Amino acid sequence: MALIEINDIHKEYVTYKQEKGFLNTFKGFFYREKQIKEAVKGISFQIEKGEMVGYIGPNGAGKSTTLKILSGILTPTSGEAHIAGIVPYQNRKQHAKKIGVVFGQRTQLWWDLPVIESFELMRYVYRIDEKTYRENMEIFTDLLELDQFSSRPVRQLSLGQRMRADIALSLLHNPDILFLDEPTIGLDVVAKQKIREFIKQINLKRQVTVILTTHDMGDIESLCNRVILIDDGLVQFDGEIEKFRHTYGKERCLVVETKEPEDIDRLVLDHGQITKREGNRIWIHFDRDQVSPTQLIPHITSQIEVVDLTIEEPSIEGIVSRVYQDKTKN
Amino acid sequence: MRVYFEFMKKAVKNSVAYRFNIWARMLGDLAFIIMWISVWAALYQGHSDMNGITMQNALLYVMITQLLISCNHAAYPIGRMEGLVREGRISSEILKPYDFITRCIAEDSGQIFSYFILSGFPVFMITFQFMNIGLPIGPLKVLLFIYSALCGCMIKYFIELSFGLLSLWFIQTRIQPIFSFTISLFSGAAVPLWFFPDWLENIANVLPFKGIYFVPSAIFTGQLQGSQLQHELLVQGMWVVASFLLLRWMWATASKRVVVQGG
Ligand SMILES: Nc1ncnc2c1ncn2[C@@H]1O[C@H](COP(=O)(O)OP(=O)(O)OP(=O)(O)O)[C@@H](O)[C@H]1O
Ligand SMILES: [Mg+2]
Repeated sequence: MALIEINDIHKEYVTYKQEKGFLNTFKGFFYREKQIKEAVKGISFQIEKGEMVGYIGPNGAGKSTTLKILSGILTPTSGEAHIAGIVPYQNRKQHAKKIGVVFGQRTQLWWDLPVIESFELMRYVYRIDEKTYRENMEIFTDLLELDQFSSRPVRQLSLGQRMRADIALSLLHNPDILFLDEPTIGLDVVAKQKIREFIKQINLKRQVTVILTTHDMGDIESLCNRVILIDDGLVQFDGEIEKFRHTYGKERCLVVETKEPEDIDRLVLDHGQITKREGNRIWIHFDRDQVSPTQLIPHITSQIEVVDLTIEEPSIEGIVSRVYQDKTKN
Repeated sequence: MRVYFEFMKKAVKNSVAYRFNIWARMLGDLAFIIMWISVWAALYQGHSDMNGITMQNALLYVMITQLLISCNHAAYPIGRMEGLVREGRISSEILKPYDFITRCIAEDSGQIFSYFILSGFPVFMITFQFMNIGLPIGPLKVLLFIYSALCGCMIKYFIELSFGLLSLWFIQTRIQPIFSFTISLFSGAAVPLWFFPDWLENIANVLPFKGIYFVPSAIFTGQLQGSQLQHELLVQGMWVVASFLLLRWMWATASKRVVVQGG
């Protein structure tokens, strides 16, 4: 049996229409209009110990909802989940000791307390022995430079520092599984790099299984060996990152800056197409399978004088929208 | 158990850390005591007693009630729950291997304790000395008073936290003022039940709230005695148990149907 197994999970959110005005509030006690939103529409997958899985999809696809079910916060409307033999939402406390959870958009740290005190408190919450605690704090200091800000209250930290502290905190009790919901949201390049490196190390050294959601392709590329793409509450793709890249990530974008804006009018392309134009800059989309950048670039520079060139990797949103387009075409 | 003790310690540390808060609180406590003393002194002008209650008793009642109010208001369980739900932090609470309710109680009692030591008690002692009213009860009654005050604190806390848990179902800001007003009226926070018209007193007698301020304060002023005292303590104890059961039941139901807001 795989470490994580979920089978045909559905989740419906029930909300009630909120009406304005005092009388309507009063009426609301007796009758409220029900609205049902099915966020997850039958998701199944299995994840083995030690895997790092990227869980991606457009806004509102149901990623966070799935992670909340896996971590035990939410109970699915139907279907079942087993993690290391436990049903997370039925056995929350037992499950909680084996997992670490980070929801990037909110912190688990105590807002008013110095960072180190949240860690001290967690030591008692999870009954972590002195030795493990010291060892872990050493690792966090080494890899995340926690000591630089551990005496400052959380509310004074930068987003990157807070996120580092949050991720470290979630790993303090040596969990087997780590759920990360947008762990790099809003971080700069260096901070992202640091966090990726840390997650990689933890996965390597401790065989921690990681599931992470993100809108940053970079996270996926540097961390995951597998991606699960969901859209509209359903799994669209589940497989190796290479296969994923091959299937959906063929498109690249070349951004060309010319010396003179008029040059652009003279440009003739035999592959790819200009999708955007702004002053003396143009965006050329091309399919990597049809033409390589090493062919395309000389083709352009031979025609016009180029000041600057960059190749943009497809963004996750771009890939997702492609999947979308393919789906509506079929 | 250790973890709850750590939560209590953390709350104490937190309250001490914000010095400005303590000064503000002391000033507030003092202002309220002075205000209520002046109000009752004015009401008594020209009367030696009203409804069989002497002015001294009324003033003592006001002072001790203000001390209890100051302590009780050091914790704000409704606001805590609303914040946890609104900001979605309730999710990480649910995922911790401790009992959430016990954790709240531990943290808030730490806060109540520190404000009692740092503000409520000193302010009370100062006014008590200044007013020069003798203590009308012996040491045994003082112990009973402390016991009763603690029970009152629990009743208020358990009921308010239960009310706060409702925010897992709906946002109750609209009915909160009504709820708070009901507690403050029937607990005797502003006017002792002695001065209630009969019909209002009858209502107060069947509600749990008079155990919060009225019963302990009435013990403190020496007005509650004998079998009546026994009866009140018994009823109060029953309300402690009942409100605790209510809280437990609410949490058991609520934690099962938690819906976490936001991404
Ligand atoms: N508490 C809630 N009540 C009602 N509907 C909700 C609730 N939480 C989420 N939803 C809805 O369920 C759907 C899935 O939401 P979810 O948060 O899982 O998306 P997501 O994939 O994490 O998106 P994002 O990338 O924006 O974080 C959305 O349509 C959202 O509006
Ligand atoms: Mg999300």
